Amino acid sequence: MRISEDVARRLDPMVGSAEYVTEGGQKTVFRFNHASADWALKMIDLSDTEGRLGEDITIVVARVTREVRILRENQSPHLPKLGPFDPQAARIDGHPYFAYSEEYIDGQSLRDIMAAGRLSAQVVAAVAHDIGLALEDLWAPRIVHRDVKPENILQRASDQAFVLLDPGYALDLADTSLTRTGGVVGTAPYYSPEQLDAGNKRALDCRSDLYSLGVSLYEAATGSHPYYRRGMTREQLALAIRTAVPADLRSAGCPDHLAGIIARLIRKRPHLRFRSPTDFLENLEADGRGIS
Amino acid sequence: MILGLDGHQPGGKLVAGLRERAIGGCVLTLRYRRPENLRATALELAGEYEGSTRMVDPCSHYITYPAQALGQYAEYPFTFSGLNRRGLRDLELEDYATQSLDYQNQLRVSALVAPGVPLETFDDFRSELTLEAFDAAHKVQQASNSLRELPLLHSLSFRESALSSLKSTSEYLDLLTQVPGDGFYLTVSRDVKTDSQWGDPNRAGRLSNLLYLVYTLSLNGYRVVYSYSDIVGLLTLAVGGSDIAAGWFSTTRQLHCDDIGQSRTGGRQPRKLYASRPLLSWLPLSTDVAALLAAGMTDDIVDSVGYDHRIRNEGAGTEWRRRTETLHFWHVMSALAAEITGPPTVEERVGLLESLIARAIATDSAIEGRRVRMEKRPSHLSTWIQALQSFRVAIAEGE
Repeated sequence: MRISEDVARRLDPMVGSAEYVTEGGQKTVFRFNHASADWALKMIDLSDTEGRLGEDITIVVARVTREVRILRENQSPHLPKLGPFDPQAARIDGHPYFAYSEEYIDGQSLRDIMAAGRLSAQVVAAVAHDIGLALEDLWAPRIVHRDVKPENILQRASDQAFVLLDPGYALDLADTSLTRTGGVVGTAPYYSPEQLDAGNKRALDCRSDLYSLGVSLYEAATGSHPYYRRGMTREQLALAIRTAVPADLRSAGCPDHLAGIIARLIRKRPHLRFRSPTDFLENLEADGRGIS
Repeated sequence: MILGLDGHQPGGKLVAGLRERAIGGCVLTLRYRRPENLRATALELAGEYEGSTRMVDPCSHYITYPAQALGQYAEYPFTFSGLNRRGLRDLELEDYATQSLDYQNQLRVSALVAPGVPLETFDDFRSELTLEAFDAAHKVQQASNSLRELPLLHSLSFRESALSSLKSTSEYLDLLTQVPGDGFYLTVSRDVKTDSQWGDPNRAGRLSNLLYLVYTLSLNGYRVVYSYSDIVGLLTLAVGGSDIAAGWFSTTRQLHCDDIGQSRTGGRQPRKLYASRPLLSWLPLSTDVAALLAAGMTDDIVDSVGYDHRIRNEGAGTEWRRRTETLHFWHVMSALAAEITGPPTVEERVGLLESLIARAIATDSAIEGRRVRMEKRPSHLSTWIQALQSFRVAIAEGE
């Protein structure tokens, strides 16, 4: 359930100017001003988790804590930075909440940008480059984002750079205290085949994120998803990935080099994609940021 | 690149191959040389052919065999033999890698080949152990300033039957392609003893899966050396492999467990063979080559590389020692490798190779049309075509 501005403002005087922005997943997002800068306040109503959200409270808190740690450790310009309001649990009117802050990014999501029509090859290549850098920074300490999708890619108005949001579902392969396979998380149309495979007992790695990025880029370049059609179940999507051949990106005007890069990102077997985000970026940059 | 693979009775063949530029480098093996000889040879090659590729095969495909069957291999203090399941599990992988890599480094190699664990299949306990061995070797290399300066290849050694399933090969590739390091040194232990060219049509699927494995590793930026190779190794070069290693006896052009422990002496001398570039095949000199020359088909089977001039000028009765046979084979392989790896893409390379095979098949048909009696027809060619077709399907569909 959406958390009211009144509740947010009562968290702490620092966030007294909180204004509602949006909600998604388990979080309600507010904007507040502090030290002459805008910040995003992200709040979760923990009393809601076991009911509407159907998740154990400890899992939710662990996930948010992990997201905060990732934001704190990362200095990438293509990932949001942690804000001044420290992560904390609070109880307001008897309700338990968890809240933290991060850089407020003023801009449009890739989803919103795509709503105006398919994107030029230059913009698609810029998204590929910037989100590739974000994934490279995440993968250095062996972190898998697990929820790369157009809604989580934002173009920052100030410098036009693309930023990857919401590493809340990230999986830290270096942290052996967390199960590597865990539950299935992410957003189905952007799941990698290995994410979709409930029987997959092996760890996801960076190539899963590269696949999700590839699907997002394909959609941006062509205006349609390579496999998913409205109303498909997970099983139908998995079948489509196994059997369907996506339309050639070149028919949508995508230059050869960039088309080849995206086609490789969305290969169903991880070993046919790129070995790492660094490998992906090197290939992308081998031909002038993917524009041929 | 073609690398000369060490074997019994080396007799200066490797040096001659490097001198004549028939090979671009060589792979010495613990199996065939005593430690003092290996050291002296390696240092001599490093001194005289500094720019060449020089490796030492740690022969980890032998570690499950009894020491008495393994020639000089067991004389090296850091090698293992006779390991059973428990012995393999108890291997101290970092120590194993450290000793082997440090030893290789002293021999002034140009690339390190880390020892591994030979696989029966791609999904048993050894497959996990092998990945651990690769991680251990990389850790050892990265911890040493001198080792870090050299490329690190991992020994990936497996039974041919492991290639039966594309699905299990693919699943293992998902893991292999996350292994840190510069490449892989492949050895495939064959299930049949007399099929060094992978000509058995029933094994075309396995050959295709081998090509898929080489292609995928190469696609992921690894250098792939396919060792114990015969002419069939050209297929691995077409799909992205960087080097093939082949020697002078059939036991170094195909790895087979029955050859392990084989005595170096005794038995009849192998017949003299001629590597024909146009036919992509070995031909017995005294019978098939003689018959084809007599039938006026010289230009169909003899090219103009290596020692072809001797056959052209002196016929099948020319002096053709093992050394000449080997050097000519390497020359032919190097010429074919240069031709096949010319085009920039795998698709173009495979297309070129297919056209060379088709031409060889056409030549074979012409031989048949002339009713020239041959002891052995190049039946492997149609199996190669079949394997390349399956390979194309595999890379298109990814599974």
